[in-house]
Amino acid sequence: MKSRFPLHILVFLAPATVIYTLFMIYPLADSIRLSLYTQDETGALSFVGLQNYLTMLSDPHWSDAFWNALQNNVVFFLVHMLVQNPIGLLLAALLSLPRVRGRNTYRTLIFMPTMLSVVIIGFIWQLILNPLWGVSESLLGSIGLKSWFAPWLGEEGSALITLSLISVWQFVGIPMMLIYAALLAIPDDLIDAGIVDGASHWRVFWYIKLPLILPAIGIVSILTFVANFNAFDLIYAVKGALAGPNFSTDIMGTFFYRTFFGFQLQVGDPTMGATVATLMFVIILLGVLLYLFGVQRRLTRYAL
Amino acid sequence: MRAIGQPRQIASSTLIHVILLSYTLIALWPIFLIVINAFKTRKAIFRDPMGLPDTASFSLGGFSKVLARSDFELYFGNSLTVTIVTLGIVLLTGAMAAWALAGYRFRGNTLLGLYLAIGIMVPIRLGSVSILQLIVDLNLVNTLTALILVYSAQSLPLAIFILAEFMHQIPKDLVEAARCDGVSEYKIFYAVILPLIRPAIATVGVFTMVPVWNDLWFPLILAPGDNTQTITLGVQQFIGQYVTDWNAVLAALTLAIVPILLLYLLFSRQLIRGLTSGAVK
Amino acid sequence: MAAIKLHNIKKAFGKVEILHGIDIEIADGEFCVFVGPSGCGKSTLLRLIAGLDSISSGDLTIDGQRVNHLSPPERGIAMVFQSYALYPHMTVYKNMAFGLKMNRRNKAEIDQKVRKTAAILQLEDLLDRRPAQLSGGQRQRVAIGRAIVREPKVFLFDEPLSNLDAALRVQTRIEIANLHQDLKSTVIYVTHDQVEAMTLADKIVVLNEGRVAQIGSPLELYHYPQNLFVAGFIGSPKMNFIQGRISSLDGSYLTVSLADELVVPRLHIAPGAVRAGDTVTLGIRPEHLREGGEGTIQLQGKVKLVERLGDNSYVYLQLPAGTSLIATTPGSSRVRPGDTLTVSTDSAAVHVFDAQGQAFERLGDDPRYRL
Repeated sequence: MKSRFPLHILVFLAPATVIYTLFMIYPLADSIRLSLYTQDETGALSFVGLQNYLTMLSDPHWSDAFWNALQNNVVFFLVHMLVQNPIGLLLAALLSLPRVRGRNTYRTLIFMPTMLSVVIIGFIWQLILNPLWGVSESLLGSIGLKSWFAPWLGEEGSALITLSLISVWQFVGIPMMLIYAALLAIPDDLIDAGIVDGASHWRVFWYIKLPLILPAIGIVSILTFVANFNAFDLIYAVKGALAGPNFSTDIMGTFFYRTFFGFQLQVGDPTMGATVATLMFVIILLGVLLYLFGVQRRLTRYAL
Repeated sequence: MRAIGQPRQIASSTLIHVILLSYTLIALWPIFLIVINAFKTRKAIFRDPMGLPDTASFSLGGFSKVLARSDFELYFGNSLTVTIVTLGIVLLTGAMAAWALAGYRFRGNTLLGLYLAIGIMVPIRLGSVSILQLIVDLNLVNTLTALILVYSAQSLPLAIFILAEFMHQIPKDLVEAARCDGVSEYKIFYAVILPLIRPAIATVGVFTMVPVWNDLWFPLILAPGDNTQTITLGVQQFIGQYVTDWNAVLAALTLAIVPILLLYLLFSRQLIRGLTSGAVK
Repeated sequence: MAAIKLHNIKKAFGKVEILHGIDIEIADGEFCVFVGPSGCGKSTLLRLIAGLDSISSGDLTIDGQRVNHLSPPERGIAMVFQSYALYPHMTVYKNMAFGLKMNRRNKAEIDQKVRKTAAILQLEDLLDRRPAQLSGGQRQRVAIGRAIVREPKVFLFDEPLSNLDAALRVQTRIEIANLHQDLKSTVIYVTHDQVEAMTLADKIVVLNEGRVAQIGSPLELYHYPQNLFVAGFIGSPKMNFIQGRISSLDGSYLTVSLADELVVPRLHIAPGAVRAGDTVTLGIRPEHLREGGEGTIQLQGKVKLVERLGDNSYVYLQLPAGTSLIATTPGSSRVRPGDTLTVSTDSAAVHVFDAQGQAFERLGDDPRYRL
């Protein structure tokens, strides 16, 4: 190794590292710094230590909204884990069975909604679930469930679940694809060996494939977690910054936006916004660390 | 397993197709419904939402309203500019950095790799407060440049990761042969490495372009001005404004959906190969 | 008891037919090797017998029962895969127990059988390891153990030695041969290596381009190849082929003239539809050529290359007409490249093939060249 750092390596690294540091790492770090300050009307900053966090977590003016958003976000995440990922797993498992004709077509079509903007998806479902149009109602009617219909997006009790399911509908393609890729990586010989050993396709899946794709399911879970606790677009497009009705669909992303930019009578507050962002960062970090040290260590990756 | 051609085999194969087909319908029906109704008169939209447009119900009224009342072409152009320039920057600078990490051993290589990987897991959105401040300080509010810079930073970590993985597979002999021929390090990158990573570009392209094209957050906070709106923000604002004009709303949605779906169908093979290639493990 | 019968087995993938009607009978307890170059269809045939792929047409019977539509375990087969296909997430014990577990045997029985098999294969100390912690040879033994433990009627081996190094390959080959002698079950073994085929088989099936080229015991194939393909495939180095023309015919004796006015007299074959003037190919095994001129057939050429193996040397000759020839000579031979060398053999050692590549039956009674 030369004593001087080779110039060409520096040249290769510099542009990407500068852009990344300036527009990603610096803002993230600066946000954390800002969360330790408060801003008066003139815009001057003064250091307040952890006061913002104390306010956020205990002053009812803030904390009610914070805990509500966090709780809703947990629900949002759980719906994805319990609906999106199992459906993705099921679809991937079916697609990876031998001799399924047209698997590429299925794959391509099922992945389609994932490509569209969350905003567009939000509007599409807003229209479809709109009682004025009545499409959903008549569709349910055609299978004899007309009485089930309700303006789900508008009711406090069902709006969050409905939005979660819309998001599930859109993103099912991602777990499906990642798990499908993991299933494809299992050598055919292993499956054949299982069949020769007398296992049915179901048991081959349960005893051989599933244990081997657990790492992929782990990655899907953590990706779901990060994406869910960072979500914003869908709620904002369908419900606006107020995440109605009565904040029942408010999640961390929309709460962050309102805190930062303000809404109606409340003015925006950058330092409190930074505090919310930092708390989101901590939540995501905790999730990732929990995964890395609690889950991933137990999931052995087997050389295939 | 029951061997092939047995009734049980046929039954289970039918079941598989029933499930896959049902889910495919669930995935496509909403999109299909929006697109067909965009071509109908207001009356037909409400009277027979499931029906295909026919001569009696066909209408392009929604589209003419959208094109008249909004700057759709402008928004589309803005999105295109932002996405393509971002992709160019990400591919070039990302490939350079990835090559530095994959092709050379130097002090701090691993550490720098980890530093660049932070951005894969931590969403850039969380830095928005300071990003806005930075963009204000740089006098870039309401410019496409602001979006391009932020999106480049957002896309670089994953791009570098994928490209470096890919470059690790390039045989060392190729590079060493070039070095023995006295080719400079820059020329090696330009003439040997860049042509070889072409297959990875599709993957990186998808992971860069799709989130950028679809993003609402940064256009909303960094470039909400009339002249710099992207298509996603433009559609969102337009629909917010004309929420009761069903023809216009359906037409706006269709205009936002169709180009993407056509592109998707055109490139779905490369895209899916990228997704399933294992580069995202 | 497990005799296997393949009758007119065909396999097509879509419109492409891979196997064009295979007929084979394998007796109970027989060690049968399918051998052929890659792409000849031998592995496909094994998968059809295993029940992993469907048979397009024809009948497969095991013990007189038609099994075309039975699943692999219902056929009573066990298979050892080329890649071993050990379940990477299971210990050696669980790998071996898996098949029994799938067939709902009780725990005590499974445990007893696994331990017994492990003892046979000296795997007792490895039972708690995972495949990744085993050497290649150990993995191979586990794969075999996984097959044995189920006490199948038929063992199927798909190129089981191809991932082992040369020394281990010989050792494992001997282990498999011993195992077959102990277990006495029917074995079908696929390989592309003719040495494995010759050393292991009771019966060899040579496959070429989706058809059976010849079936027979190792020495039958060696001494009586029925066609050019088998003649060239069995034996190492490969049999020498020389083009010629029948110059005269005397009952069951042929005289063949070669280029350069060389004449090969008194080839004793079963009389058939041969006529003077027909083109034929003569086949002479390198090990049947010897230095010097005391044989009835003498060939002289220039030495191009000598490969010395120690016990033997392979001498590459070029005849004046350009034909290349390999002769296996004793290791003590002093021949060097550039020398002119005469090699000779006996008429009884020569194989004769017609223009279509089919062999004429050899009739000579020289014990050196007969079964």
